[in-house]
Amino acid sequence: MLDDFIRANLGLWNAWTEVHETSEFYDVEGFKEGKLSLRPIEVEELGDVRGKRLLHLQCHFGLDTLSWARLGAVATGVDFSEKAIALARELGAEVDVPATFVHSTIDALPDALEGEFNIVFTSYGAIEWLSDLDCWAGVIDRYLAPGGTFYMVEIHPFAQMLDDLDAHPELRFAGPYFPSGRPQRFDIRGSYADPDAPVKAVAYSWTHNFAEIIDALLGVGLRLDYLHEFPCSVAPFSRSMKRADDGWYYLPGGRRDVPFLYSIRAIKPAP
Amino acid sequence: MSASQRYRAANLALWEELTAIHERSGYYDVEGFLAGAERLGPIELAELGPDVPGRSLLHLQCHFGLDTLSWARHGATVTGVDFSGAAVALARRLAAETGLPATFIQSDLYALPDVLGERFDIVFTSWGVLIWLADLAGWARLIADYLVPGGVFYIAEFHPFALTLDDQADEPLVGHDFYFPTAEPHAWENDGSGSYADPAAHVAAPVQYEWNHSLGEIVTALLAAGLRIEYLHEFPYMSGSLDWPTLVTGADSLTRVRGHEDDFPLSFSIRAVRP
Repeated sequence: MLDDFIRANLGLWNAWTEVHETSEFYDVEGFKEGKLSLRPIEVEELGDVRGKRLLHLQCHFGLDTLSWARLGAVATGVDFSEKAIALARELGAEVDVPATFVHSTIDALPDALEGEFNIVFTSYGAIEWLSDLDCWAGVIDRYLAPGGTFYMVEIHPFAQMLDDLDAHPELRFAGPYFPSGRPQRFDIRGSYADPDAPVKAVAYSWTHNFAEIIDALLGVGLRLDYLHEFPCSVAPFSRSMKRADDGWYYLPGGRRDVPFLYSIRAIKPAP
Repeated sequence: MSASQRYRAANLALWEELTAIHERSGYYDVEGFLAGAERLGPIELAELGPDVPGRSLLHLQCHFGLDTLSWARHGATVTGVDFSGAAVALARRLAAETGLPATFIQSDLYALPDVLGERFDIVFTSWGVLIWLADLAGWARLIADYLVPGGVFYIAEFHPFALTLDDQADEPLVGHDFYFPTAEPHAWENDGSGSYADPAAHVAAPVQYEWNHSLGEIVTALLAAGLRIEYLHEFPYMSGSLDWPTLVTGADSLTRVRGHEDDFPLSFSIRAVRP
């Protein structure tokens, strides 16, 4: 059953890779000219990455992985979509930025990748595609060197709970918030990066509440530094959310009282 | 008077007045307590209960001490703190009446180090306390300072998501400006709706001031104070009842969101240890 869900999601992400490559949202042309795809939150919070070994989990087609490499990290990106990894390698070669890309799911990664890293990074819409956060946290712990930093910036569960914002601009909770063990099924049309893209697919994603996320990280012995929250979104949740001059998406009227993103930093204690 | 003195004076006047109303309320059921009924909620009983026997316990923002005295019944050596003189006087009276050993101190939370010097095995606080605090970083430092090394901090509280709910709507809508901390508190004018424990009661206090605290702010304040979080738990229910159209209280005395009985987070708990 799990394999069926993953296979469906793989079909979606392979299809999305093709349309994302030419999307304005991902701005691959700008990246080729030297722009960084990273956002100010992770750049400021993760700080100086020069000379650090960085593992990027669920890297899609590698723009952020390559951007960390441009900032001086020795970067490795992992994704379960073979099309995304092929494109990531192609882009790395074209812009001549050294980075390693590994084609693997998270749970199978220990069979595909050796070594330890100073930083494990993941961001923006990654963990909803994972059924098992204890397994995920175990993989993070497996790859962190003692004293190493785990950093994530993700979509806030509060925002994930809201009903369709176009149908309910008054902000109505739809849920669910708590994990149920079974994924939610979505009929996907287009993409968050391009609502009009010719993509039609069924996908499955898993709800993870804060308690589950934090307990998964604590459960492998990581020590939390902070949980930060932000009122801006990296992608529109609805057609009514517009991109502001700062590059983030906000609710209509510029409302900034709803959390759309959060970040967590945690350290693997030295023995 | 500075703004912060004005906020404190208004909230203190409210709580001095609420103490007498609550003493008579069915919600607090003082008669039942005196007869031996359990006043602690199922969450804190299950999660903190096993740690309590034989330990010293500091209860912050204890109101008139029912929970403090309940922990004494479970075997803790208890100290309760509240800023209301009326609440502390009632707490002492109830301790004398039940014969339960307990110390009650009247003090502003942030001024507690001026009057209390000892350290505790457990610091406990619960249900509706954080909205009255302007400074969570200072609160967390104070908790860390009152714990012995290896001591446990435990909180069971309304979930910050729950506090964003529109208290007038009959479906779960998000109100404005109730999640992120803001520089100034919300000022709630007295609209005649009484007390959460007795909506029919006449309350004279004209205004109360409440502060937003997001989940990230709470967690980060505790971490920054040097406490090590052992868990964050979240629950689709809370103890007690609130007179909001979107909430429903079941036969189990737990309150849930109508139509989202299993999937809206109404409360959370955190257990943290001072290394």
